[in-house]
This record gives sequence, structure tokens and C-alpha cells, in this order.
Amino acid sequence: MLRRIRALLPFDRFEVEGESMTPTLSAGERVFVNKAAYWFSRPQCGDIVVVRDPRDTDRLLLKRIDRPADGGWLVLGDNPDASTDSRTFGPVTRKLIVGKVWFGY
Amino acid sequence: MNALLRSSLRLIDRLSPPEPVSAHCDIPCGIYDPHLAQIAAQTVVRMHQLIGDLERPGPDASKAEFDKYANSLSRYIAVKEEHAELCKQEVRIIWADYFKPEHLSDHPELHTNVWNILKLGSKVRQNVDMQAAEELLAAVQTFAEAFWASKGASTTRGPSRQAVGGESVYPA
Repeated sequence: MLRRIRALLPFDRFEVEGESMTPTLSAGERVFVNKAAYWFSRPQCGDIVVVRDPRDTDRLLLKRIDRPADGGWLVLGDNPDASTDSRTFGPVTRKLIVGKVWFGY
Repeated sequence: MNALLRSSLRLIDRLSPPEPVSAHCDIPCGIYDPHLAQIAAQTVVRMHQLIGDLERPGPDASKAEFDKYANSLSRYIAVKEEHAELCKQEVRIIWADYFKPEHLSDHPELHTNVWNILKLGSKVRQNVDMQAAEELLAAVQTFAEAFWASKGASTTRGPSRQAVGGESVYPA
């Protein structure tokens, strides 16, 4: 029930796992995500976003928009040595972008 | 960040835990080292040496002598099997998880070399073939050089200081 309500809300909360966004966001931090951010505007370079892994769409990833590319946007981790991102799985489509990170808490 | 907002959100998180979002690589460690593959390939060569040195019991050997021979041979083959597979596994992990498309411009031979390693890794299991074992080790040393070069580290070739002899690649 709670899950259903959450899915309808235009925002959601997530807990960061892993170090690919270090030093910006570290494991254990929570992020508040605006799911309506791209309803009326396009993702901007530099936005931190929650995206679905194109290889397994049940899996959510935290990355930064690098630049637009054929078929969507390239997303990268801030810490490239510890990140699996568009260098591996290519661009992500608009549909796979869940929302934009507003702030960490 | 407003402390009240933060504590309210943390409270909400307790009632309805946030979903995890991954900010990591497939294994979140970023730790890779070709050393394990090099040791495995050296072990395969060493097993070939031991198999070559093993004296075959004569036609009138006792059962005990024959058993001793069969036991040693079986053990060398078992370790050869295991380490050839280990070598393939270690190389596959670095190739698939560490190397990225942008590394290919500096290491255009990478895919072919990995392919050779995987083929040779099977060949040394199927046969007792010292030449293939040495080719496997040489290909793994080249792979190790490419790995360290991609990290901006230079390498040296020095004596292995192992029973197997020969040289090995070390990061400088």
C-alpha cells in the first residue's frame, strides 16, 4: 500500500550504496529525489539523477548527467574508478531516468 | 540543510525505508590485479615441468611404485586444470569489469590477447602441451603490462624468483 502511494508521489527518497558518487554523495547518505523534474524540461548536464540500469531495469543507479547522446543521455559516476556507467552500458533513455536529486540528507 | 527537515525526513525513512540506489560498480571495490592470473599461468607451466620430470615406472614396477606415479601425475593434472581455469577467470574479470572502451585506443591488441589467453587456457587443460603453457604465460604477462600501463604505471620484467623460473612482469 505504502509502496503504491510512493510510486504516485512526484518525489521519493533513496539510500545511497557504494562509492561511485564520492565525494559528492557517500554510501549511507539519503537523497531526496524530484521525480517531476523532467516532466516539463530536459535533463541538464551536471544534474545528479536516479536512473534505471538499462541492463536490469529493476536496479536503480545514482549517476550524473554527462551529456546528451544518440538515444538519450550519457551518465557517469563522479568517481570513475569505482563506477559502472555509460562507459559500460551506453546512453540511458528519458524513460529510464527516474528523477533528479534535489538534496542529500 | 535545515535540521528540522532532516530529522523529519529521517523519521519518515524509519516508517517507510528509502529504496537503495546503487552508486557503484558491479563489484563495489575497484580493486583489480593481474598478479593472480600471472601466478595461475606460472603454476600451469610448473605443472608441465613436474609432469615432464615424472619418471614412468618400468614394466616390472611394483604396485606401490605404480600407485605413487599415478598419484603424482593425477595431482599435477588436477592442479593444472584448476589453475588454467583460475587464470581464465581472473583475466575475464579484469577484461570485462576493469577495462573500458576508451582503453582500447592505447591497447588495440587487448581483445585478441584476451581471446588467445582464453583459448590457450583451454588448450593446456585438454593436453599436456608445454609450448601452449609457455604461450599462455607470455600472453598473461603481456596482459599484465597492458593493465598497468592503463593505470599509468610502468612495468619491469624481472626474474620470477619462483620454482618455475623465467621472468615475470612487475609494476615499477
